[in-house]
Amino acid sequence: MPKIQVIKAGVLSSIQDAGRKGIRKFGFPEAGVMDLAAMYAANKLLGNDPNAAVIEMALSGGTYIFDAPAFLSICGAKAPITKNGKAIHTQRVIAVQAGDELSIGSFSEGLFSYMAIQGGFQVPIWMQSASTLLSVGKGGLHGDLLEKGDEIPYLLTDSKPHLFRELDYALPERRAIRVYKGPEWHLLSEESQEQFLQSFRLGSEISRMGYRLEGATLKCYTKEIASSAVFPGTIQLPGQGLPIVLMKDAQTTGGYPRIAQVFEEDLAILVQSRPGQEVQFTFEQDKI
Amino acid sequence: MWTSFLLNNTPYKVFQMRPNTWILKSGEKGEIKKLYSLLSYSGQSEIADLISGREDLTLVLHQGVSHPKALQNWLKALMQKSTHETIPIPLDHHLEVDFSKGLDWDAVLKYCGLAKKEYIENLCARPLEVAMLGFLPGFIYLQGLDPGLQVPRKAKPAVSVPAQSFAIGGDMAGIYHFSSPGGWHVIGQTIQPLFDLDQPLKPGDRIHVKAIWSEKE
Repeated sequence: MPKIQVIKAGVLSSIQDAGRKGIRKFGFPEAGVMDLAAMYAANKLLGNDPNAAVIEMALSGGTYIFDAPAFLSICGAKAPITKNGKAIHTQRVIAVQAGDELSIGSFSEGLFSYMAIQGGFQVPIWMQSASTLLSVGKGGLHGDLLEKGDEIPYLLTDSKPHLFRELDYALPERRAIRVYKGPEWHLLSEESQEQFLQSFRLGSEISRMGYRLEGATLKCYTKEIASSAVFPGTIQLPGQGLPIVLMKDAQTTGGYPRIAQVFEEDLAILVQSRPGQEVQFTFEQDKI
Repeated sequence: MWTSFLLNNTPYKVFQMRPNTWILKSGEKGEIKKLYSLLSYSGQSEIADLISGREDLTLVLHQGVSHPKALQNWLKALMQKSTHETIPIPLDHHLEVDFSKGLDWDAVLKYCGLAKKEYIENLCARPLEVAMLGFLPGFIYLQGLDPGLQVPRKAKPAVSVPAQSFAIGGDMAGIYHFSSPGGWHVIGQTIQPLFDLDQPLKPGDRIHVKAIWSEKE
């Protein structure tokens, strides 16, 4: 099988697909791509299965060399992209030849981007998914972030994708993120309940497990709860009073008060926010 | 908003976290465990996931349920059905544990005032029972540990517990599927992993521990 060689990996690159569903009951985070819409669009452009495994990249892309001809698509955060040193457009399918070098630079807008390849990257399926689960070092290529020297297999296909089709994706519009009140919302002080709806900034501590927010220090009448279920999009309040929004690799239960839960459809707005950017929450309706 | 309803005359506190996700709590000890077992066994295709917390359970459904009343009715019907149909008989599993690989024997034996041989004989004398799964990936909680064998958790968790560790903490035994930080006392290592996604254990399943010695004591 031909391979893509990783010359430079980027800071947080890993193999992902749609992740694992229904196994939080066994303690497994779902993992999977942070921005599902971007992965779907990248795969769709190539005529792939929507869940075909992709390379997820954060903050910057990296440099890759191809063993054999391939068709690719790149979708998500905006970045300068070059093939053999020349800037290329990425709104359509990208064709590469054996020996071509593709470089994806630092992202200028958005935080996560995806490289899909016709037929999908070929890594072993572990627990129903190709997704890397960093916390236990399993899944993906070798259970870890991609690094220099890695080789990721892909299929050699005869069929040609539509070369003139355009990528159907735009970074999420930056607007207030809709949330539901969490099970411990009522334990926030009244002042903190108001402060929560004023704006936060995205902190610099961001990972696939969670994003830390900066802004008003919130006060909760309880510092700890009997550990209970959390999900991607759950907003926890640790003792020091700055909220954390849990993401795809988050643990399955937690002991911090859960003050809110982000609408599933709106989580990508936060996913694609950059450290320092403003984050605003809103209750769309009083009840669910 | 938290609301409450009755199921079989037991009051439950209920919270809708997302359209398809409900937290259920009960003031009456044991009721949540029973409900967790019932839901685990029910084989209901509507259930997408079921997460046990320390004092509650969280039910994830494939489709949203709009109102607590609808959830209550669905659970009521499920409870009625389960009394008519046979609840599956708990399965027996045999688990070989290498007790030479215990890391915390000194603390455990000192606390219990037992010799190692005695401790292990007692432990293997009766099957343990699967209480719940999760918290850490593939972690298995086992109940039924003889009070004489119980040791409080470590005051300071170990930085790294090896994969497949057989450990005790409080009134439970447990198996770490993966290496992770952990506060339980490691007394052995399972020869085979007990967690298997394709044949997951169910609450109530019985675990028969068999002692293996990789080193002469």
